Amino acid sequence: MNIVPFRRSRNRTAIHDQPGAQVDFQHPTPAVPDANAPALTGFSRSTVIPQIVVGAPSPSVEPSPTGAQYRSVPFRPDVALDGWSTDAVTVRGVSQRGHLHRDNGAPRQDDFAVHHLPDGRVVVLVADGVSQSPQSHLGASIAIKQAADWIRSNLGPNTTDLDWSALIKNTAYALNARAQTLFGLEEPDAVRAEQELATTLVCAIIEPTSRPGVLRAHLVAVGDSSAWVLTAGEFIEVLGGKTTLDGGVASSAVSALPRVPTEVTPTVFDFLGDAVLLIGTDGIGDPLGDGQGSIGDLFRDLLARPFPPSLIEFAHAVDFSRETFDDDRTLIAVWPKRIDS
Amino acid sequence: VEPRGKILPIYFVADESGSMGRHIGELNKGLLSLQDALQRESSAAAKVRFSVIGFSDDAFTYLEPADLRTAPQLPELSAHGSTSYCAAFEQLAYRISVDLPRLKGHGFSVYRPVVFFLTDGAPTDREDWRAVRARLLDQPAAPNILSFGIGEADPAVVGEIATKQEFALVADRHMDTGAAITEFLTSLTQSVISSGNAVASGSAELQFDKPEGFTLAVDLIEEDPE
Repeated sequence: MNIVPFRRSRNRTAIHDQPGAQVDFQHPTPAVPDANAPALTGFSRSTVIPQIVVGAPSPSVEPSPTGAQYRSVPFRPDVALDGWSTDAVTVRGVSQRGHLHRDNGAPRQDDFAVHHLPDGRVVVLVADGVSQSPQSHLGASIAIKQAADWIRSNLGPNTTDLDWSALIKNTAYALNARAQTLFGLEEPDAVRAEQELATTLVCAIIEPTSRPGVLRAHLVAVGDSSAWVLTAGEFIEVLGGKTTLDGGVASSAVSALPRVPTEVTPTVFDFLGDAVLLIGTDGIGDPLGDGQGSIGDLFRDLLARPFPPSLIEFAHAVDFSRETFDDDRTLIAVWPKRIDS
Repeated sequence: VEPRGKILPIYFVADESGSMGRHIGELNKGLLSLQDALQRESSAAAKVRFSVIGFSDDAFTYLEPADLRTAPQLPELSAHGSTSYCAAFEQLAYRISVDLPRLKGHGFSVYRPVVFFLTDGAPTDREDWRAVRARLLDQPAAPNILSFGIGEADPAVVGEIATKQEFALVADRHMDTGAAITEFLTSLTQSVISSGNAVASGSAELQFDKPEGFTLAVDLIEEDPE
């Protein structure tokens, strides 16, 4: 594996980090080290913890603020990070802009939520706004929030009784309704909602079983996000693969909400021990591929340790730099809590 | 195989027949500007593999699918001979049949290729180019073909080359051919950049800019039914 620390190549303006230090924007302090200069931090030295570079790096990028053409309310941070442990599970989740959107000022089009229900079940939601739809970052967030609310209101004691199809339809309806408000339309308009807000969605409910250390996952997906179980060093695709092949060539013809698949059947399986459930957008799925390459190595090393990584360490790994992989990335990892930990 | 991400193969197929003689310089200059522009847009360039095929009596691949960030200087085209669409489509079919498996073998996930087909005249009479084009489109990785007519090109023929009506464009009759070539290359450059950026953000929607002064071939055919 070729993973080398990456130093920024561009010189950046350094900013004094001492109390009361003035920043002279007209005459910025050069980022080149100067023996007489006071201790500095700033962009050039903020790379004390550089991005992990896998193979050839993607050009380094200082993130831009969200562009004026995107609705900036609700406020949308570059990175969203969450994670915690209960008696039964450990969860890590991060969603971040890729270099492309950091560079061009598009907001993060991915979004996620991990929600711990009072009865111990865990809800994981991952959405990837379709890039052809200009306000799909809103679509992703609306889908996440709506699906979370719906699950909370409609999930009975048996996960198997959940009406997944109703969940997906309700989420699609919410997108249509929001499009109506957002764009001042006379009535809900599925075409307009698709043009502006289209998003993929993975919904998962993970529950402890009667066997200690064994978790059961229920998943449904609309669109091209993926889920894997990493076990014994192998990434096993559990949602049936994302790449749509069309005459042997790749196709990005994803079906996305507000389009509703004719059939919504959950994938249900148990996992235990060292196995990790991973749910990710194509920003992760594309570089991971079948898991046999260097991104597979990076995550094998990170996720298969005896103890899960810290939140920041997890986010740092997901923020790897690799040439041509510049899409937004979201990855959620769920471990059965180690019984002896 | 190490996953290398998704890429879009783009084939520029250029008419090099004798009638292009006076304007081949503009074409070559435009290609150099295209390369310059793509080197400034490295994240878009990284997602595209650009190929150049020239045709006249026969067809020749000047540039196999190349990463424009690192490609050596683009080839210089030259004008001579007749206009064999047969040769052009045969060469394209052959290139796609070898290029796509090779790219996939390197770990790329390959989108359906796009062809920008530029012609300035009528195809050679005696050949059945329509059958060769149909064979090209019969293969699983059949490309999307955009056609651009300049000079003496017949809008009806330009319309038959493209795979969709809205992909066939013809330069306005009064437009200077050199200017039309320059406009075409500006639009080609922009299309390559937008498509590369679209692929980088996870979309394979073909992005293309209509060159200034070009009209949909289908509109011209309707206006001028002879």
